[in-house]
Amino acid sequence: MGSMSDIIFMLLFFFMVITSMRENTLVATNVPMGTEVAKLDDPSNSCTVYIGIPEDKQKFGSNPRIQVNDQLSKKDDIIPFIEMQRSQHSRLMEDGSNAADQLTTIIKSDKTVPMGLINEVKQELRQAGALRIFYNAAEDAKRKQQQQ
Amino acid sequence: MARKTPGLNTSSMADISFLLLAFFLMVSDIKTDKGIARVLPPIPKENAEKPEIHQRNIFTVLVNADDRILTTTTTGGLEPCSIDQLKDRVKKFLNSNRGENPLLPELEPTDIEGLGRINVSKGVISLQCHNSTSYDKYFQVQNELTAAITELRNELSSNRFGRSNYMDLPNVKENNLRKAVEKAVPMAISEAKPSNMGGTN
Repeated sequence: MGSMSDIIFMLLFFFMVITSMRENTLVATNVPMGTEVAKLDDPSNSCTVYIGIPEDKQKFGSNPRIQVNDQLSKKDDIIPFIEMQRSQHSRLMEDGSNAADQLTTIIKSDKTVPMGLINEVKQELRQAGALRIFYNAAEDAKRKQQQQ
Repeated sequence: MARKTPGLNTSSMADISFLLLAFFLMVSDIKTDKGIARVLPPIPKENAEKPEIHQRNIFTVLVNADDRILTTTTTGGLEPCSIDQLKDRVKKFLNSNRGENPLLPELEPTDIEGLGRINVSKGVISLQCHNSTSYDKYFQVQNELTAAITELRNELSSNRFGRSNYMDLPNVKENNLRKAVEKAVPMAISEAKPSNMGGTN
């Protein structure tokens, strides 16, 4: 019996360490698939902007919306959101630069979203000076195999 | 007189940690963030001069409201292009391992540490899309552009260093060959503000 709880504790610690809390998404994001996708360089130094059609259509309508900070937002909310993320990620790097300047914004958007909305978000990010972006996508392993 | 310490009842320990384990199992989300990284251009300062780019150095990729792609021809016109053709056209345009050709972008001999003097193409891909272009199509175009540039980098890497994947090249401060290859084949994509061209809505 004693070893049982030890093993379970070990599992528990394992999951506690690898875990990052699942984000509460209010919009459906079925991301596109690509063959050239790569991992993000520094996943801990990133924040995510979700764009998609709200899950609760009756409450929020069926037009694509932006979600930051666990709530549906307008595009004007993006600059304050980036400022907040910057202050959270602010720390001194090895080479003397501030990590907040290297902050990457992950754009997790649904396939069907029109580019007009995406470009509005990108324009806001430019205004905020958050120039590093990352288009989140799934790897299309099948297509990649066919190409080789 | 030594007293016996009473044993601690630990039988519920396993139950409690099971509960905690179940909790973390449910809330955990092993991050598999994959995608394509890009750097946005900074907002230009007011009264900043626009850099003039020769027509021959620009390869326009237009995606209209119906998700159809148009690309520039060597004569300056526009022609339809399927997503499968796009990569080869971009590769042909950006390839710098060739002779001087007035129909293709200018080549600029540049000194790059690790590579020596090498021709760098001044070509720029101008990606323009309509406000109603779907994000999926835009992403597929970005995917093909990335594929074209990655293949050119891999070709250079395999010619010069015998590595068919430039990501395998050393990436340390003293000997950054990967960065050298990235400099020789830059990710030259410019995105104009989308207009309402190419569609009625």
